[in-house]
Amino acid sequence: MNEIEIIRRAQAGDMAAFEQIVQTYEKRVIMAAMQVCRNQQDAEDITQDVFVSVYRNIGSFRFEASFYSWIYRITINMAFNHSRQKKYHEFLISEDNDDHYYAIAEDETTEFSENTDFQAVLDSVLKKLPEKQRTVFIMRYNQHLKIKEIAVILNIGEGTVKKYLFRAQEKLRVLLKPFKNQLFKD
Amino acid sequence: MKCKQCEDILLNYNLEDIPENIKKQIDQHRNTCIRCSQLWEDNLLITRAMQELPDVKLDEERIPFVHAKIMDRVHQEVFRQSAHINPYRVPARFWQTVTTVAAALVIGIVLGNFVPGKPKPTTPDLPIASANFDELLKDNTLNDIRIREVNQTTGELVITASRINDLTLTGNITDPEIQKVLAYALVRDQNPGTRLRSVKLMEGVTTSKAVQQALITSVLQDENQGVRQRALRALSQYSINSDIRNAYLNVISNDPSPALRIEAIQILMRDEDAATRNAVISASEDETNEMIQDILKRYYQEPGQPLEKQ
Repeated sequence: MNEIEIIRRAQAGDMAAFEQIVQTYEKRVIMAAMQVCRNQQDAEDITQDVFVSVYRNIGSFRFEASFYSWIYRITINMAFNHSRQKKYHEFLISEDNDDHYYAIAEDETTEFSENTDFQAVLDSVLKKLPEKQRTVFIMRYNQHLKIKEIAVILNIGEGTVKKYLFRAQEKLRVLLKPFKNQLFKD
Repeated sequence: MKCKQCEDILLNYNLEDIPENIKKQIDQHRNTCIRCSQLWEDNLLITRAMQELPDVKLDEERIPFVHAKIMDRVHQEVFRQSAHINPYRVPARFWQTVTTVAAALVIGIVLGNFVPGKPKPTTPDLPIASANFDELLKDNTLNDIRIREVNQTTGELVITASRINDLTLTGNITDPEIQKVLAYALVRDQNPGTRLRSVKLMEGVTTSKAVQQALITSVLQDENQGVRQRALRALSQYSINSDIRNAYLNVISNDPSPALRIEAIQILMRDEDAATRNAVISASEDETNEMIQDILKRYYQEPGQPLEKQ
């Protein structure tokens, strides 16, 4: 049975077909959610919400895009919502407060040395990006999606994607400056 | 090359994916454009940084549990949706007819030409003490069972059903007679919502033989996967006897849902008896699901040995 047939059966209420869909995509959905929230427990919660949403809305899937990109879009939106619900915004810095990034880089206490755990710093820097910038950035640099693909998945304009990407890059450039030598020492 | 082209390439492609001839064109353009030069530098820095970023590691052993949770949530959603479907919904034209008939009756009474018939007896509440449950259940004629009210604190509940007349039964979940009605509902009622509510109520009942038999029947025969899954969980509260073990093994061999098969395997894995281990391996001989095969290997396979009975 091919995927289209399985989806059609699931749309008609066949639970076995739906479970097959879950089995096919659950790992990829968890991975995609983990890229955004960088935490497996949260990713698992998001994955459950994603498939409940897929179940509710599978009837509206019209085979105009690939099924995975449809699920992926739901996943990203769910990951956004989850971030909000978990009050991640406490850790996020509003776009109006960009000066804070420059302050981090210029702060004497943030003088990174060879011994500084670069990976941990980068991880925490990414978490501190506003969620839209972070998501666009991760989709572009971690999942290697093109601007157009990101725009379609997030249902925003290509110009908006570029804007988020530029802002994220700008912040990261400042924050990564101290690591430049370390990154290019080879 | 123009800025727009350069920007499009740098935003869309990883530097290592850009063909050499395009890279040369970008290099030439960078010599004359500070903005694109900056964009190139950013890209280079970020690409290197992202290569250093630790991969988020997925604990794959968690996937079967996530799968079971997903299917559980989806089944809850199925029942939530079915609860919103009103089986008593009537077409709008029905009310037009009713209004017309009612008007005719009123006119008939007023004119004295209508002789009212014998009033229909009101639905009696049948208290638990006076209900003859064996009589009610023996011919399998009780139908349309509905669990109307449940007091989660006291366990008091109200069940309605129809046989010849409509019935209302009141009692407590701890009462063996009420447990029999719920067991009956789980096995016989046509409505999956009623069956699910019955099985949920029976999750706390661990001593009734009637409930145990109903749960086994439900696990093996209910057409609805959600009901089977809840029945399986309710059954896991009973200590394992041969009937229950056979039911689990039957699920492992025959149930179409991998989620249920996984749960049945996990329940039997708690029993460290070699006979159970062998029975699980035999029951899974035809298993094609890779996830389940992995679970079995992880739990039962000795390092360096094939998965086989002892």
